[in-house]
This record gives sequence, C-alpha cells and structure tokens, in this order.
Amino acid sequence: MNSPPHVSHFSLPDLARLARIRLTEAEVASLSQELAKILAMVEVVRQVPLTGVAEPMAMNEALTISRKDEPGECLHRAKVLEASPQANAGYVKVPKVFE
Amino acid sequence: MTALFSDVVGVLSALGQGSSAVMSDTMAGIVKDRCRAVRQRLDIQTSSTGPLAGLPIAVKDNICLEGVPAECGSRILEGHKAQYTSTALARLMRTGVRVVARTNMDEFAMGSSTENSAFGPTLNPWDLSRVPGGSSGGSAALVGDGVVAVALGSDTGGSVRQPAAFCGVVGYKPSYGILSRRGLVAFASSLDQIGLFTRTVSCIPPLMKAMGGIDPLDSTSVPGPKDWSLKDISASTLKVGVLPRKFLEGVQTEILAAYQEALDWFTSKGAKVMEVPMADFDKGLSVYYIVAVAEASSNLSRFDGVRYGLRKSPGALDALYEESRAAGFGPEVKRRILLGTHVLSAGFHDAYYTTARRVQKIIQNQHETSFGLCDVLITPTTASTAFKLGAKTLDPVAMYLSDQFTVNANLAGLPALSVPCGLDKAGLPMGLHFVGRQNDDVRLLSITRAWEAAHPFTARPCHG
Repeated sequence: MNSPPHVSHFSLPDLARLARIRLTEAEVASLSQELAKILAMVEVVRQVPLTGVAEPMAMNEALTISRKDEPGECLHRAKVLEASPQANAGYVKVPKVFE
Repeated sequence: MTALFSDVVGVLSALGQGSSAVMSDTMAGIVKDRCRAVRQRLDIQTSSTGPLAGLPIAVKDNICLEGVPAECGSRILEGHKAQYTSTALARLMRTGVRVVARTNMDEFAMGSSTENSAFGPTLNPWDLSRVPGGSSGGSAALVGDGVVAVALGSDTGGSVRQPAAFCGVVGYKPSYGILSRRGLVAFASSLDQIGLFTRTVSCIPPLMKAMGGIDPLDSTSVPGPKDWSLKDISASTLKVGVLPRKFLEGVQTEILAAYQEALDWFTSKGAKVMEVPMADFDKGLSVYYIVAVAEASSNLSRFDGVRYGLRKSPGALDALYEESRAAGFGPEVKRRILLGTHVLSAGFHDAYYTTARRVQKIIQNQHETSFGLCDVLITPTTASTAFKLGAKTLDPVAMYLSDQFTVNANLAGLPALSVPCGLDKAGLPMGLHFVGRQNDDVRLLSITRAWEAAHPFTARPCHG
C-alpha cells in the first residue's frame, strides 16, 4: 500500500536502544525470530482497502468529560519518596547527568 | 461449600446466616491455594454496613489498593506498594466487600495463560496440569475453584473472558469507559477495562451499580446505565448475529457443537439467527497486536528504575534505564515493548500503526452495522478449552490466537461476556461469548441471563 516494501525489516539493537532495554546476544537472536514471525502475522492489516477510512477518534462516543483545571487531591510527597529506589533531601536521587 | 458456589445474593444470605463459616471456608481455600492463584493474602474491609458487607472478593494485582503491593506479575514492581486505590475498587469497597486476596497475572496483563507472571504460573482448577487462561488467570482460578464468589480482573483483548471460559465462570468486560481506569495499571489505555468474574450473570448488576459512573479523574469514563436491573427478555423477539462460518474453522469440535446447540435453542424460542456482515473480523487480532503493543511501549516507559520499582544502578543514567528494564521485565513484556517501538518508529509508523488504526475503524463500523441488524453477537469464547502448561510458551503467535474471538469487543469498545456452556470430553469447561451494543450493557446482560437461566452450569472442579 502506502509503505516501503521492506517494511518488516527491523534492527533489534536499534529497537533495544530506543526502548532502553539492554538485551543479551541470546535475546537478540531469539527476539529477532519472534518479532519477524509476529510481524508476518500482523502484515494482513496492510491488505485491507482503506480509501476514505479515518482513524477512530474516541473509544466511546458517549459524553467525554473534562474537568476544571484546579488543584485537587494529589500524591503525598513523603510517600512518593518512600517508594523511590533512592531518595535524598526530599528528591529522588539519580546518577549524575551532567559532567 | 455450597454457599460459595451460589451467586452474590446467595452468598449474602449465607453470610447473614453464618458468615464465619463462609469466611473460614474462603480463608482456608486461600491459604491452601492449590491453583497458586494468590499473590498476597489480605483481609481488608472498610465498611461493615454496606449492602455487600462481608462478601469476600479477590482483586487482580494490577488494580491499585492503597498501601498494598501492586506488582503486576513483574519483578520491576516487586514489593511496590500502591499510593492510592483505584476508583472502581474504592467504590466497590464502600459496599462493604472484604478484599481477601490479590491474584496472580501475566506480567502487566500481557499473556493468555498466566505463565508470564514473574512469580510462577497459576494452575487451572479443573486440571492442575493446565493453564487457567490469562492474563487474569489468578482471579479466574479462584472463582472457578469456588474460593471466592467475585473477583476483579482487567481485559485488554480478552483477559477476563478467555480465562473465564477456561475456568468455568462468567467473565464480563463492560463497554469501554463504564468503569473508571484510574488506578488500573495501564497496558493499552484505549483498550483496557476492569472486568468481573462471577458465578452467574445475575451477580453482575449489584457490583456494577456500585463501581460504575463517571470519574473526574478518568477523562475517558462515561456515565453508564442509571439502572442496572436486568430485564426479562423474550427470546422470540431477538435477532441473534453469528459470524460467517469461515471464521469458525479450527474451533474444537465439542465447542462448535455447544455453540450450535445454543443457537438452536435461540431458534427454538423463536429468535432469528442471522449471519452478520463482519468481513474483517479476522483482522482484529493483527490490529490488536499493533495498537496494543504501540500503547504498551509508551505506557511502560514509566518503569525506568528512577521513581519507583527495581533499580539496577551501574553508573550513568542511560545504563540505569537499560539495566533496570533488562532485569525487571520478562520475555513477553520485552517482546511487546520492542514490537511497539518498531511499529511507532519513523518510517514504519504509517505502515503499521496508522494502518492498523484505520482497519480498527473498519472493524468498529462493521460492528455498528451488524448491531443495526441484530441484538447480540454470539461466538465461542475460545477455539479450544484450557491447554497444557508450557504448550504455547515457545510460540507467541499460537498464544496470541487464544484471543481471536475476544479482541474485537475491545477494538470496538463493546460490552461482552463469556458464560460457561458445558464441559468437553476431557471434562474441561467451554465458554459462549455474547457481545452487545456499546453502552447497552444491561440489555446484553439481560439477554445472556435469559440463555443462562435455561442452561445453568452446575459442574464443579474435582478436589481429589
């Protein structure tokens, strides 16, 4: 249809980098095969004629609500920090970002 | 044990006559946990005066309950305690229900067998060598085994209805938006819905009455029915939609026979059984495995080892993300995140994601057209009864096919439920799948109850 012919081509190391997941060599080998098989399965969607069809807008056409933009109940700072892997002086601690 | 197998109303009357006996049976079943369905035993009841006071319920481990671990079957959330209670669960708890267990699940609700839990698989109460279905397998197994009468699950592509069919219970997914998703850990937000496991269809209305209604904290929530009372339905007035026959190829013989018997029953009562124009029904699974993984790759980016959950900290921030996610996620979650990353990436987005969304619209349109012609769509819930543990773990595509009859209700936001319709030759439960018009859940439940009333499912798993 409106897509490149090599559409099922993918680079697993590139995807892993984008997804921020480190993969072992064994995972790269098995996932490459599995993803190729799944992509072959989903390929069928590209055979459906789509002229004049737009993407769906909402999953339920009934009233979609919006609320006033005003402060309400929110998470408790101490509890949030308690759940963090490492906290220090009221903040979540992460490795140095700037050298 | 009899009271435990009765409906909500029955359990309540039993509670009135001797709640301690019911509770001790329930607690004994949870302690024994022969199906390995329980992640955590609890005993939390916040109201003693509500209409469902004392009713024991189990809750899937991705529905938040403040102060209680919400691990979602994942190492990355092991020990993580929820900071607030989900709206639907909080509303249910106001009725006095007693939360007695958090239940095992496929990691982040990704799976059809509950074998993807980082904490080990759950077993099917009808045959402990088989899967209970998934991803809400723990909740289904506990209700199927008669330990609790009610359990909450979540359903993104069939994760309540498929395990309900495998475990011989009723599994209901409401219309999209009728139950708030606030506090349900997100997998694919446009498809996720909290759902219910019960013994009978009649149990559902009092629970939905308590849980439903608009939630200002979920902008996709809708008001839902004002009156959940089920109506008496005369089958003679019904038009029952069925799929073109080709979509039933490969379905287990006994399930096909049970399905045909159900259609024959409707015909014998004067209903008109008609094939509906659903030419692209079989594309649903492929649409689902593009749209759902795309949303998952985005939703699960929050699990990065920074603010909560598992942290592996080898040095630089990028390495922290990559190592935490590598150690915290299991194989199926990694597979879906990577697939979702691919279908959303530059150069592929239009070919996969946009295309799938447009096919989703076609599927929605075909359902809308079909429900202009019929009142209810009936299919088998699954193509087979519960399979053996390990039978599909090495073949993701075979596992994904478990949801072939259920995903379209999610893609179209429709209400749907699975109801037990007998046992196969191996003594395993089979499920019949009823789908209705959007936001007309009460009519769908009423139609299903009419069928169920004439076909009560009384078989129980053997505790030998």
